[in-house]
Amino acid sequence: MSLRVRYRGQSAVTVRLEDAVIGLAAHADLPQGYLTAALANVELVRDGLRAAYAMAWCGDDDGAARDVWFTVDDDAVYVEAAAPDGRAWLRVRLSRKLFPHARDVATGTTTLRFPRTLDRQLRRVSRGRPTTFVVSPGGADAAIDGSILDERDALPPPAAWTTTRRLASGLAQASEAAPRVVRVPPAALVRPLAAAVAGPRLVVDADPPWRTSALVVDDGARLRALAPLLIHAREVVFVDDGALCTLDAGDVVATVALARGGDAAPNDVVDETAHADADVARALPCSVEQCAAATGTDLARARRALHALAFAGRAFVDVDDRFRQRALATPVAR
Amino acid sequence: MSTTAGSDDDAREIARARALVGPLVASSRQGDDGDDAKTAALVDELRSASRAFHDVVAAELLRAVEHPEPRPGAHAPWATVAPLIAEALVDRCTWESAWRLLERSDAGAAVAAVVLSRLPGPIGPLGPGRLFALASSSNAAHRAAAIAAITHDARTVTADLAATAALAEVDDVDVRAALTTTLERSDVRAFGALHIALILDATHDDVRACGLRLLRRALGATPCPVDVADLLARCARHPCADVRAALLPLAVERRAVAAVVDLARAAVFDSAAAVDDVDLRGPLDALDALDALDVVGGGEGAACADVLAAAAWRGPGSLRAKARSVAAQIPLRASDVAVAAVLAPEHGVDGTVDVDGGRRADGGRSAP
Repeated sequence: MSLRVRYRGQSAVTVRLEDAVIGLAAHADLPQGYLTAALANVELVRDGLRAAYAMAWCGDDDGAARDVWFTVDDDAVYVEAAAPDGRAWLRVRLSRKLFPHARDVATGTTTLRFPRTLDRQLRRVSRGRPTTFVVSPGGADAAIDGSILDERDALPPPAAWTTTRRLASGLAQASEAAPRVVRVPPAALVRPLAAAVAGPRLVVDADPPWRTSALVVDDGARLRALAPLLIHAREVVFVDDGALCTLDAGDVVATVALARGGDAAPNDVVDETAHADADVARALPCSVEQCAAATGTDLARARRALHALAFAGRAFVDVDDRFRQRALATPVAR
Repeated sequence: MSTTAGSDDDAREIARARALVGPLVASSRQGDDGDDAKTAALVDELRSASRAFHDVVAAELLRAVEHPEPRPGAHAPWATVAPLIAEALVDRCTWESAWRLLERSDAGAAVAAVVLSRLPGPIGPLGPGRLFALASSSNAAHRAAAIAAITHDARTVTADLAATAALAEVDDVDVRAALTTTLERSDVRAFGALHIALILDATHDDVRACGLRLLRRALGATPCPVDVADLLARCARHPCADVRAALLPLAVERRAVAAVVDLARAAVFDSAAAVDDVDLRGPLDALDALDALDVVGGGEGAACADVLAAAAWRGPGSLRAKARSVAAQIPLRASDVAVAAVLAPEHGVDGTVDVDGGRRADGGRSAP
């Protein structure tokens, strides 16, 4: 099983005297999820992309490029990245307000090529320089021919795909069990997140008012991916001791889902018996209740169908608890 | 008579040149091993030879390196000869032919480098795209050609800095050294805030250091060519600590409250810094240097709350005390949970814990 990615263009940042262009190359065979726009808040988008980069390159330096998922919807743009071992998933929701007067828009999902040098290049982008954001097959290249510049199997490895798909579904945040929720102001995380570089655990044991809610997150190093966005954040919310972490920065909301346990993690248990039908897919975006009303079924059946769609990578639960359409390409046997 | 004598001398020089260069031409065409002794003899002769002699060798050299090498290194002797006949080469080479030479062989690139280093303003005709391609090439001869162009065209590098800015990101340290040396030799009055910001935005330390040196020189010039307020607005959230450290005194000196707070916040949230490298002392001193009225008047009270909070939570004792002292000076929004944390130990604030998402900690106080 593998997921093949092919790119015709380069992903790079071009910085000029008075402006800059972030050009990201999209998958040659997934002709949707394109966008070109002058950015309304350059630093917010930049740091959202840097967060996705950090997750895609987290703990593994091999190779020249990684891939992130990019979805263009009517009201938001989503950048999603898996950790290289598939045991963490980051979703960055960027409001379409950040991409005013967008042109060459094609809604849908594709993958973007994130080369090793991209984070270094993104650090050159700042609010002092109006910046244009381009996602297209050519990316940073003004013109492309039919040749493929980069073709390879995308991470995560096939063995981790079930876990990854589970994390990507966002179903953890739609859990019906009462979760333990801890809200932390961004500054409280600065030093713990910096320390998480060296160790696997994130410990937030700051002075009051958090003394009595000391938070220990195993595998806190994965949460380092959120570090570029901390400066913009209003609040960070940990659910179930960090199994899910959401950073709210207004027009950008980033969510990290972490796999728990060993290789045989409960997260890997997927209800493959539930099958979504076409009516449910057409009802998206919707809550379970809206889906039930739209399809004329009961809540339990609607929920099973939506979960099946999410497990299949064809939907996910957004920060507003509604299911949204997003089609991850599926690994195929080779 | 003298004309005839001169012609005879030239004819003899030409014949001697052909005799010496002939074996090199033959070996480079046939791909034979180069004859070091013959190359050395030609080099010796070129040091004292006439222009007519140089012209013959230049013509043969250009003819030879325009053909592909029959084997790698077959053209190598020409790379040794080229610098000695630079003027004759420049007279015979157009831009396009120099560019073609670059693609032929390493020796061709060396010859092109010689030409590029002699022609006035080589970057203009070469173009930023080709220059960048040369500078970022894995071929050392190509990079040498780029270095020659950068070094000998300081005027274009400075005047069209935007076009050459991409060179600052080239991985080759020698290319960057050529760029920074050229920039530092330039008239600093040509650099405005835009130019300095562009150099400071480089990701390589050596280029940023060059930008900071240029900034210092510009600030010392009369009149100062850099609009400092514009520079602060562009760079106050700079991701690199070296740039922030250089800008902080400028912001404090000008009592630029927003810039000080931005610099402080960028330091606190520097995602590249390790736990002990988060530089809070400088920003806190800067906030301390601005009195409360400055900060409140600038509308930045709430914005600096997280700076104070970050210092107060986990910083060393002296830093915690400093954070609390600064917080006491600045009437921040008491509803800010970060401020509540800073002030709690000294103000007896109720440290409400926000668990289960039901309550927001407001430090026991309401917003003013």
